Amino acid sequence: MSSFRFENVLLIDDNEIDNFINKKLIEKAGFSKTIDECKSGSDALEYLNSKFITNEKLPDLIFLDIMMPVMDGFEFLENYDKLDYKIKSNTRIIMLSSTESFKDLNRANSSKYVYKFLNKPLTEPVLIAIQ
Amino acid sequence: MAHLSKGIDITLLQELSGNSTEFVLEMLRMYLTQLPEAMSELEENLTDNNYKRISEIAHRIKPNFAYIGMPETTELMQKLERLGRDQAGDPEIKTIINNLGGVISNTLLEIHNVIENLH
Repeated sequence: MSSFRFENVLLIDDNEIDNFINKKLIEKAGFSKTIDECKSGSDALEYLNSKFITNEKLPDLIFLDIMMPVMDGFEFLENYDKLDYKIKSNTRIIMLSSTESFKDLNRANSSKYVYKFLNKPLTEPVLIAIQ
Repeated sequence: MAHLSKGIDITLLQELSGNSTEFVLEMLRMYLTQLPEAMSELEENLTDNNYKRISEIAHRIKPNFAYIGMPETTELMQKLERLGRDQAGDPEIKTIINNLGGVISNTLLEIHNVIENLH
């Protein structure tokens, strides 16, 4: 039986330093067996479709940044809604951002796909508290 | 600026990595490429009066300064993010970006020193 909390976690963030730190934290906490990363919402949609088509393990959990070039976190959610339901059925999304905007927070919390909103930086106690 | 006399602080990076020198070195090497790139992007977008993009870049790099113990610069990026988003053309945007150039140059020197000492 796996000792990891999750099988696969996907980080969607254009900030390489954030991704690097978050990957390290996730590894250190034994949070996920595998960790993948995408640098924009559009890359993430491609990643999800590709995993689905090739019948590979889809992420159990996605950490989604808001402000990203090409396609931001909210645009990602709009497009995510159009994906095959099988892609979404076992995936939860946590928005992870350093936004100060209440508008962003409310928008995130009103999305049916967003399980939780977290402020950056991600820390080990916060990670451990994720169910 | 106040933090320049204090220097960078890698305590948080050490804590996050469980005191892995390898991790801290890898992180700091990323800063050596990421910070100059971000600075160039800010300068280019200032020339182009692209304040929306300036706000986005400030938002992106804001946490990077927090990781290396530079709260004043994190706050400065917060301010730049707000100004770029809400007050396009405000002369303070140019002042902040110009000051940031000096801050980043000093930070890069400090990072080089820390890397050397960690080896």
